[in-house]
Amino acid sequence: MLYLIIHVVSLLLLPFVLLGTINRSKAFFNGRKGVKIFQSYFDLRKLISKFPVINSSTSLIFSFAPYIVLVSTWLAASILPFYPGYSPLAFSGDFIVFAALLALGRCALVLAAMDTGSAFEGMGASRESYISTFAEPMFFIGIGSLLAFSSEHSFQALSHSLLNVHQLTLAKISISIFLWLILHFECSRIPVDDPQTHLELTMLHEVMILDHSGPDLAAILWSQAMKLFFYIALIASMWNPYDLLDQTALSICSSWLLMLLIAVCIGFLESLIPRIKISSLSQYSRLGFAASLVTLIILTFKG
Amino acid sequence: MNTIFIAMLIYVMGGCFGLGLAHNVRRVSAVLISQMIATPLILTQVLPILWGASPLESHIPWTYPVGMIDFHIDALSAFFLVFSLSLTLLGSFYAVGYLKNYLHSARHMGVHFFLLNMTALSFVMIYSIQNAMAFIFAWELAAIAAWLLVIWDHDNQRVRFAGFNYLVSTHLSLLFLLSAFMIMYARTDSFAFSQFAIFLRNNTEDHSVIFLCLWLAFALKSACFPFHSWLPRAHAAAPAHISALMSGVIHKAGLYGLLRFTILWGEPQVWMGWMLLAFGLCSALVAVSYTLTQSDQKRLLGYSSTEHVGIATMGFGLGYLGLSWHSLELASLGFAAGILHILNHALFKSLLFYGSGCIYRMTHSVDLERLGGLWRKMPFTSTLLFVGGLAMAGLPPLNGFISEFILSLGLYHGLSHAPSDLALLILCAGALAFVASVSCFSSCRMLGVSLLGEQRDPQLQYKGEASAWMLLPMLLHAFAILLLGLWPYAGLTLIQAPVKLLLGFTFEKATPNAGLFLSDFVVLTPIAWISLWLVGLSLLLFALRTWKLKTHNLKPSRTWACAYGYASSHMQYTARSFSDLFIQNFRRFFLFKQRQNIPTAYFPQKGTLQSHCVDAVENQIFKGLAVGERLLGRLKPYGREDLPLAFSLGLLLTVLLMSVLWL
Repeated sequence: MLYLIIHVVSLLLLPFVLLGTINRSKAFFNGRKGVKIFQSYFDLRKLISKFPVINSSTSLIFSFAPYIVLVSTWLAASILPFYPGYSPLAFSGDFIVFAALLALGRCALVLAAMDTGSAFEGMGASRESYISTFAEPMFFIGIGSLLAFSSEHSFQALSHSLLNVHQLTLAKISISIFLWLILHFECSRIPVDDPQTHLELTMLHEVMILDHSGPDLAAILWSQAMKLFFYIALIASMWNPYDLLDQTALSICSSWLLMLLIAVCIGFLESLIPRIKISSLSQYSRLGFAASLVTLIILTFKG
Repeated sequence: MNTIFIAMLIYVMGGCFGLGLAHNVRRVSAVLISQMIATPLILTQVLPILWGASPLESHIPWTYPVGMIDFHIDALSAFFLVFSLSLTLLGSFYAVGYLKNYLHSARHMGVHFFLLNMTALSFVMIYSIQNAMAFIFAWELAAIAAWLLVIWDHDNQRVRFAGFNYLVSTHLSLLFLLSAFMIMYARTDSFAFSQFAIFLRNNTEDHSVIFLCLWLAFALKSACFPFHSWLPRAHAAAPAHISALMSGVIHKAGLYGLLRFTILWGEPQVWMGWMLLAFGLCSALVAVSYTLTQSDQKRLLGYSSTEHVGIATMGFGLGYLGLSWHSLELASLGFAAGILHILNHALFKSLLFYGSGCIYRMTHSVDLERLGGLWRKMPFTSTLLFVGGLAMAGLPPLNGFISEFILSLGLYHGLSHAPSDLALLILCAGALAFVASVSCFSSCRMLGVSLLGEQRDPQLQYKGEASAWMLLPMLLHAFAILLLGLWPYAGLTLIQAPVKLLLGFTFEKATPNAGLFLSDFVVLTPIAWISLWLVGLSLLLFALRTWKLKTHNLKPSRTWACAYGYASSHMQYTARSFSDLFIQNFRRFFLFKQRQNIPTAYFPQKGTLQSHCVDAVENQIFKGLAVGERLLGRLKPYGREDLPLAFSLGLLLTVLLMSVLWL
């Protein structure tokens, strides 16, 4: 029960903390102090209190999709272990359901974008669907090989079994590489997508949700923040050597430190390099694909 | 079993009444009534077999050379019969709505409905007969009836060509099936499948040839890569309910044949499983990529059928591997995934074809580039199409996800295998993930472009909602999809008897007789809970939001166009532009043919540019055949003019000599 409370509190707090950290580290590079750490939470609260503007081309799907995204992200949160060794819902094959729930959210947003009948959202929907075709095979080959070779079938058992294995350092490095890439593809960070651009033609994800406003937009932004948290937590739990069930406090502290470190790295990377061309995205994804194949090969020869 | 024979007779009689009566309305009613009597008759006899009742048997003695015709309806036949006959019945109801214009015209509709009865009859025969000659007769009946049904619009030359393409492919499959049967007859001196089983389980030297012939036959029939090109063409040409029945029911007969012979084989060799897995994966990968290039909705759905048959074949390949490696979990998961996917695919693909039929009836177009904003005029059709499209994408909480989940779980199930085998299976799982994500892409594209947004071609007239004859079968399909998705155990209970049958030879002692044994290997309760929470919680949140916002008048506004004042429906993304990034990325695998009339002079002129994607695989096959033709052409100067048949006679003699020497 305690672990469930820890899980829920982390889910409520950490997405905003991590987003705030990323923004603060970018501000550091710009020589500014930056916005408050919890600014994204205050933005959400402001959005919830507003009334949305619905455009006349849309059907119910436009208004309903943000809530499908939100609920599917919540359900995906119940499957993922944020700290090694515990997730509220763990069963054989749950990582497949995790990916499928996130895919459902993305499809709902794409359909809502097509619903507006606008060129901008159509462009966003097209680009978002395109980059999603890169992320999924990487994830399944990499995580799946880890799972199959350790004879576990759920995230929770996997994170538990990774704790004490030191020979897998090389595998952990390559897993971190492709998880890092999936983070950038799925959560639209630079070098894949610039979250702060004002030019619609350069947007990938934000242009898809241009017409949403009010509580609908709040639902979508919260889901995006949670998705960012998921991938950062996945990378952190790869490297966290403490199990939540055995050494709770140590596990939580080291996970938090690792997550903050990863968030700072994301912020630094965003400040240092520009976004790459959309036509180069497939070449960039091959790096992650290669990393997942390397993971598979390492585990084949070790296991 | 006698009830089944009576039902078959009712099908024939209903069909004859359909041919013979005077007015179209009476013909159609006669056929529908005969189906409404015969199908439940058969289903009540056959459904208990799925829950453990003993199989139905009968024997009809026949003259030489056929011998005794054995009828045997076991769990596998029962499974296929249940969904084939019920979907055919629903399709016949849909046909009434779809062909309503012809009801009071001079065209004899009784022929079409007679053929629908004949397809139902052929299913009963194919799925129960255990005699090779009679099986071939039933196979041919199904093929010819399907061909005649496809060429309903036979005034159109393209439709005739598509039908002919289908006919040739299905007869090529017949050729390979016949050769497999001939080899087995030569070895066993009988046409009975039971004798084939005894031979196949005890002798293994001819296994490779027989397996290859059988696989070619069933791959041609079920449109597996690389023999899939007839399917999109036939589906685009046929009327909607025939496309639905073909993709959902008729070409599952090929998969049934594969499964029936799996039971007869006993223990297959390892390479057979890998071959099925590889070809299934190629089917899925190639076909799903092609779905993104098509703007004809029915052609798109045809490619998607090939993709899903590929996924089912992957499941069977995994099952074969499990049988060869003696892994009960792998075999159960593989076969369960394949068989469940057959059922799921039949349900959602028929629904999608029915939906595109409604769209065609009401707008006279299935061209994605011209449609758009259909949800306003056709809300029920659109909702049902959404259910079908999301099921096709394999998303929770619908049924497509369940079978893909079981397949992925099976592919990751690496306990006692060699690491290299496991690595290959994981690569297959990664490729399956790619297929799934591209399938989502394709589904969103199809649904988004045709149903949402604004109408792209202002000259298209949207007449209104489709009739109840068409909507009610779709509603029943959608209900079944939701049921199988939200309550996955319903699907598992239906398939466990066929799966047990497939495992029966290799794992005689291991399969328990009672209980849902599949739940030992795959636990679907959490998925059911997740699906229910997904649906319930999102509806609750949406209701809360709508209630909270109702107190103010929400004024609708125009779509954001970045302060451009004249946004029009032409500015929306079209189907081609939606998938343009993907096509550019993988352009080496696609083949686009362009027809253009580009203005060349200095002053403005009218010009046209048409580009459509043709099947590169078919193109390559025909190029290969053209090379063969050129080679034969080079032989021509060596033939003597006064003996025109010399070459063919020479070839015939060579073949006869080779077969005598080999056999």
